[in-house]
Amino acid sequence: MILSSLSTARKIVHTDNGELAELISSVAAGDIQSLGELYKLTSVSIYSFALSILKNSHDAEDVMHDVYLTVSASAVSYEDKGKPLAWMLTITKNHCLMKLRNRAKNADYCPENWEDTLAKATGLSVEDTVVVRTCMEKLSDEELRIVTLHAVSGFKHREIAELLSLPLPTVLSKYSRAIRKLRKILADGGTE
Amino acid sequence: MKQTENKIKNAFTAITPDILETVVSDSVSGKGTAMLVKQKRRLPIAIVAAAAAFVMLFGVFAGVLAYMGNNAVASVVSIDVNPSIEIKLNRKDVVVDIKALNEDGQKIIGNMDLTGTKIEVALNALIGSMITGGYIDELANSVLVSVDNGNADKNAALREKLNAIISGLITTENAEGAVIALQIDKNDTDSAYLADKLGISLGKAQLILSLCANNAKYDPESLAKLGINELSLLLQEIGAELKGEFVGSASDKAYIGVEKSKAAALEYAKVTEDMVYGSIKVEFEHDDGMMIYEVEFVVEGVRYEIEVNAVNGNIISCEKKNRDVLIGGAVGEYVSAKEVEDIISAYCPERQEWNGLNISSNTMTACSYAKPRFLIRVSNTNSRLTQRRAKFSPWNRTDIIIMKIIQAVIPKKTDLLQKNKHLKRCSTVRDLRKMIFPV
Repeated sequence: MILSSLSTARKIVHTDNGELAELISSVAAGDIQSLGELYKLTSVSIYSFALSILKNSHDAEDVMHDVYLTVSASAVSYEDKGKPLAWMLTITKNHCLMKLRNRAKNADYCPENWEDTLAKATGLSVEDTVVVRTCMEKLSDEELRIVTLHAVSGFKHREIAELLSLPLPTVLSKYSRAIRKLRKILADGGTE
Repeated sequence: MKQTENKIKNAFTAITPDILETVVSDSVSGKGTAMLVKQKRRLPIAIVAAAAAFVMLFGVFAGVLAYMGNNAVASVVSIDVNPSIEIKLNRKDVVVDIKALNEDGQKIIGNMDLTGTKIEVALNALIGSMITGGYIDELANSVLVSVDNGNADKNAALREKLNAIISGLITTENAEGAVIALQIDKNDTDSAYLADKLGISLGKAQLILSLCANNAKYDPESLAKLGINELSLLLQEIGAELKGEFVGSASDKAYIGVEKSKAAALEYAKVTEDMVYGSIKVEFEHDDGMMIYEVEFVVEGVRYEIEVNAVNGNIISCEKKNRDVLIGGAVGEYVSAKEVEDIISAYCPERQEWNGLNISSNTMTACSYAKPRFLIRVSNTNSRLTQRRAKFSPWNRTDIIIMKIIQAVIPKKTDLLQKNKHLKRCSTVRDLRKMIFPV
């Protein structure tokens, strides 16, 4: 309850790199308030990216938790190259890959049923539910990553290409195809 | 494009969980919390406590309400294959209770706990388990699902939903599978009585009664021994009316099929197909707990009714009916009275009593061969020259003897007679005799 005022005011992220870099250096100095600020500005990006790789809400939540712990522990070693969010997303990607490796070892993993998850989630509008479910079920893994990075985290296509190690034209074409697909499905009320 | 992007952004923002508290406390292992706490304006402890108490009370109340809402049974669905399972659902189609209606059902449920899951998930698990357990395969792939929900619209919607889910689960590359979705009729006391008496689900009882209503030979008790696939096949065969839908097609791969049953019957009768007069009639039926093909044909004046075991082709029974006399192959413009007499003497069991019958060729004629209506004029021998007319319908089984005689004696190319209003129906040999020899 103590932290509720901090957490409820979660903002839709905007990547003001300067602000993020400053926050990271404050976190490095042990300022917990800054970690809270950093969380508010980046949690949606981190979570969405993790979700786009893992396609499982529980795993994505675990990864997000680990990412912030890693960030606060390794903020000291962060060198500002003007891309603080990209740095955090790289950490996210690494945690996700670790998670995927564990999943491969654990044979009884079964894919998440998004219909159930979204039915249980609270505070979602009907449209949110339809959008998330459509993204999760109708987009390919790569399309989903590209779409979330661009639409949610505000990454430029060039930055996405770099982060995901993909050629720029691939990113561009996949992005436009995915958005076209989504727009069509959403226009039909979430059904194909 | 921008609009779609915004929608995505909003949606993902909404689903991002809030774990700041854990992150902060874990990252500082307690130390950092103090730093954050300092920045917050402290509320008097009493208000905080009161608020907390209120929140807790409200939570408990809301929880109880939600519990009651989630556990109220809105629909009862029963699934029959041979395992029978009853599932109670709340209004959100979440499983509230599940129970087996027979031993096989118990095996299917095993120790799966499906309460609290959506019906889709539960069906997936149950049908999956039935497939693994060998209750559903390519030989038998029919599922009966009956829905008990008083609201007709909701009932229909739920049936449609379940139908689609189950069809999807049982359809394979090679076989479609059949789903019968029934609406349980609470006022149907016959079904309720039958279900209770035979220990079957209400849906199955309803299905059995529909079948019995369409075939007088069936009795509910022996039908109750059949699995849903057999009942579906019978339903396909006779097309009984249902309170619900029947989609797909039941597998008949467990049975030998019409052609093989014909061959088995002909072999048993020691005849060949080209000896058969007319066509061979085959019906897929149920008799005394067994699926059979009833094969009927006529060879040389003998009607065979042969029951063939639908599973292995064994002959179960063979009935021969000699009275169904057939005289085939009449030719010529007219046959002579002598020929008719010969035919009657040869084929009619009561021919002794027919002595004195005199049929002259010029008194016989037909009004239309194509629309099989025949007019026959006969006169008896006591020279009173009484003439009687009789009309026959060849499609009535009971006049088969008479008809065959007439078919023999009246060639196709005869003059058409004008319709005669005095024609009288004569359907048996006895009637014909009365016509000819009025007492």
